[in-house]
Amino acid sequence: MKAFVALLLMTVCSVYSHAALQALSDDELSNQTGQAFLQIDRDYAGSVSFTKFTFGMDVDLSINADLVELGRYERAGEAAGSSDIRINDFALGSVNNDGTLNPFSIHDPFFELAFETVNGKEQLVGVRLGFTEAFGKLSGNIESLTGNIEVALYGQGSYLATQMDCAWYDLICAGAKGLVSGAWGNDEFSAQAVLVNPNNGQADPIRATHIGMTNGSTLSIPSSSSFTNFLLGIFQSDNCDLLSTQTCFPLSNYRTLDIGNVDTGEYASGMFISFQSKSISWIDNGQGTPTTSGAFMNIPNGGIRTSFPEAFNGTERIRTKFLDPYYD
Amino acid sequence: MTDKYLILIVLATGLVGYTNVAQAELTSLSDEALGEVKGEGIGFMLEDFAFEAGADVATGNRLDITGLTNSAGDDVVLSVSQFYIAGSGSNLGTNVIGNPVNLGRLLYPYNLELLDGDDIGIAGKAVFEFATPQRFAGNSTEKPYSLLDFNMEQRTESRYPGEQTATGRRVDSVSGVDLAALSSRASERADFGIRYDLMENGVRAQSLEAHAQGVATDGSFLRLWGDNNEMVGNLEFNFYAQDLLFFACDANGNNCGDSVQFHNFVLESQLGYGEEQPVTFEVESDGNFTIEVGSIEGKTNAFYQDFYANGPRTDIYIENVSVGGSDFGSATVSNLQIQYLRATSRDL
Amino acid sequence: MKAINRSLLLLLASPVTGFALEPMSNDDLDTVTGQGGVYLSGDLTINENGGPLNSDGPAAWQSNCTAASTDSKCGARIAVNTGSSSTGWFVLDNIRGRFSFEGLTLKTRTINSGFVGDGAQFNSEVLEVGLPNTLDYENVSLTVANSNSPRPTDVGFQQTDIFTLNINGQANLQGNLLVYPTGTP
Repeated sequence: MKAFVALLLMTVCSVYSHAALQALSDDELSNQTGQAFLQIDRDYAGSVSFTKFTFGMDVDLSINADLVELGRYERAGEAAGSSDIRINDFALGSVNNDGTLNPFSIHDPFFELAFETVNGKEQLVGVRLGFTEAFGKLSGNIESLTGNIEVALYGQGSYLATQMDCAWYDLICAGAKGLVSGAWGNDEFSAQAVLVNPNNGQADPIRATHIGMTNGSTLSIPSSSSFTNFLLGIFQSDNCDLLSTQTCFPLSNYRTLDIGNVDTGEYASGMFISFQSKSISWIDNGQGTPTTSGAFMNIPNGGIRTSFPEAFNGTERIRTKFLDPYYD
Repeated sequence: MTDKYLILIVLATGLVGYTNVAQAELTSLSDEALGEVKGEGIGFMLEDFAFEAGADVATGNRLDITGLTNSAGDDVVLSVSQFYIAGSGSNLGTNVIGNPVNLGRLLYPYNLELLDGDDIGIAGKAVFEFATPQRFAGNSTEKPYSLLDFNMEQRTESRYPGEQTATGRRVDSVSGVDLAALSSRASERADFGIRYDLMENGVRAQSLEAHAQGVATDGSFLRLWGDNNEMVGNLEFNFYAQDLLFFACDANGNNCGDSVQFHNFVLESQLGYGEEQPVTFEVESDGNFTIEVGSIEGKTNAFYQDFYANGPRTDIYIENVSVGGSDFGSATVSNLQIQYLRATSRDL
Repeated sequence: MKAINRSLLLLLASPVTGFALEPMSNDDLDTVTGQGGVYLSGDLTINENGGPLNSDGPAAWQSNCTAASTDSKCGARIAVNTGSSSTGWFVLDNIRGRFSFEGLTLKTRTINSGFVGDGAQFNSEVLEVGLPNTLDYENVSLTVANSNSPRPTDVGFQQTDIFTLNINGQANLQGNLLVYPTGTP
């Protein structure tokens, strides 16, 4: 008790007060008061209105978690005991080989609520936490994912050819393999991959376990002629297969994902986790992102670029702890 | 946050009246003075307590948060039309005064204390601690006592498909919430809530309500000490609510929609690990503030082993989320450990 | 100095003692059973109308300090430096308004029963602060901010206001704050 009082006294004694009368010019009295760091915005889209709280903050962090699981409830058409989102050994940021940290970087995190007037009542229909911009390594073993993660697959034809497994009688496949390994061998192919059902090749944004090319989607060579792309357009992915090349991959292959463009250092915008009681579209920069009911994780198009070798082999988990079981 | 606390101390000493510029720091105690630190503190509790502010706006009562804008620069006001703390059965704030609650228990009160840092991993320092009522062990076998029971699993994973594997014990799921770890009995868990209206450009846009029922913060503490002429701290924040309810009403506070309900909400968050990982709050010369949870770069292997096994962690669990009668199940973030965090404010 | 432009009135009074002093009879004295305690009323006004210097002081100090005014010369300011390695200041600014209450009581009390079984085990004395039933706020406001200098009159002064809290009217409360020593002496 005595010591506590001593502490208080110390605190008090180190407080000093300036009180001296002196005339001040008007110039000195003028002040520059900066803007607040919290913004509250209202927005509308159809029958849904939004209230968004944006915090002006730059956040660098390095975290590990055993488990991130959202929306664990029985859902029609989905496996018993599964969850809308379940990621094991989740981590943001990484540890470099020299023992320094490489933090995950976030600009202007926000919190948003969505409302809809139904039968004259104001219903709270959704809530989301998001990052206006994000950059860095996201690691984890994704067991299931509900969301909207579009992945740009890219890679050279010469690599793609090695993954084509043509039956001896399939002359179209053999011809295409010749082109891909030969004339297009040094060209960069690209394709859009999304969350997909591995059993039928259809898009599956709910509790997905796989990512890949949906039925009817094609490869293209962005830098090449429209004729070449027309030719490529003839070959469409069907049932997770394109010219005997596998086009759907387990999400758990991707142990570390780059958020943002590693080559240019450009931050990814619109990354969020949300929960809504019905399908609604969240608005970012005037663009809507449709969601499904339940928990939802969004990584906008171009947010993840994965090469074909990564797609086929998976991406290696980066070191995320100083003593990392994955690296010991 | 830590500095707010310091201000509270200054306020408590009554100096605020003539203190205009305060530069206050916690200085180290001499060994002699440390010898006098004997784990004595000041306990306090609120008996039969209820509080209500902002209500009855029609008669001029007002509790507004102003100085906020939207991205177009228009003024936005959060106008609180009720803030209350009451006993259980407050019925979303309609039964407050006359429905009191004991916050803290005589035998397990809120506590202000000067601790000997040697006992808590902060060598040679006197540590100021503010603590909420303590926790019991419940189902926990070691400190810090948790409300959460976990199903653990032995998991073998590789960092690359087909590559080297590693096996470790991880949290698989939360199996239950163990209220026996709370020293606060059911009658000592408060209801509190807030109703606020959002005004944009002077126009009332909507009304929002958030209510918490059966709240306990047992086992939380804030520890502050001086290090290198800087005040640093550790924080443990525990929050349990039997139910959290959120809903919206129209601009006049009528026609309220269904509640989004979180049942059995548990937050257990430890920030900082003794003096090895201090938490600091600073204001930079450009007028922006920084909150930092220290980096654990460059420590010994022994430290890392201890940190990952016993270090500060955060767990968040909601047993069930429901909206208007539909269930959306549980949500879990478990064994989240912060190796580094630095958040700096900036002008939007 | 900005603080000089602010008046601070702290009035503590004990208005219940409205009795004339007169001798008590022995009988009366017998009924006195040590009713200790203090009954307090408080009224704290910070710069409600701009303070005395606003009307009598130098021109530089005079400004419109009505409740609606956001002039930085109005209201009290507390600035706290956040440590040796940081050069900025955490600020509570523009603190003003009137805060009053009546009926705060102070007394000691022995607790040896009640409290759902805790009282008998506790069996000790506490300081009981009886909370007033109402707190009255009259245009009370304060701004939470960060600044690069302690005073707004410093050269190059820059400040980021985070938010301003305005309170007016009445808050209702009930209950006692019990304070007592803990730990093992």
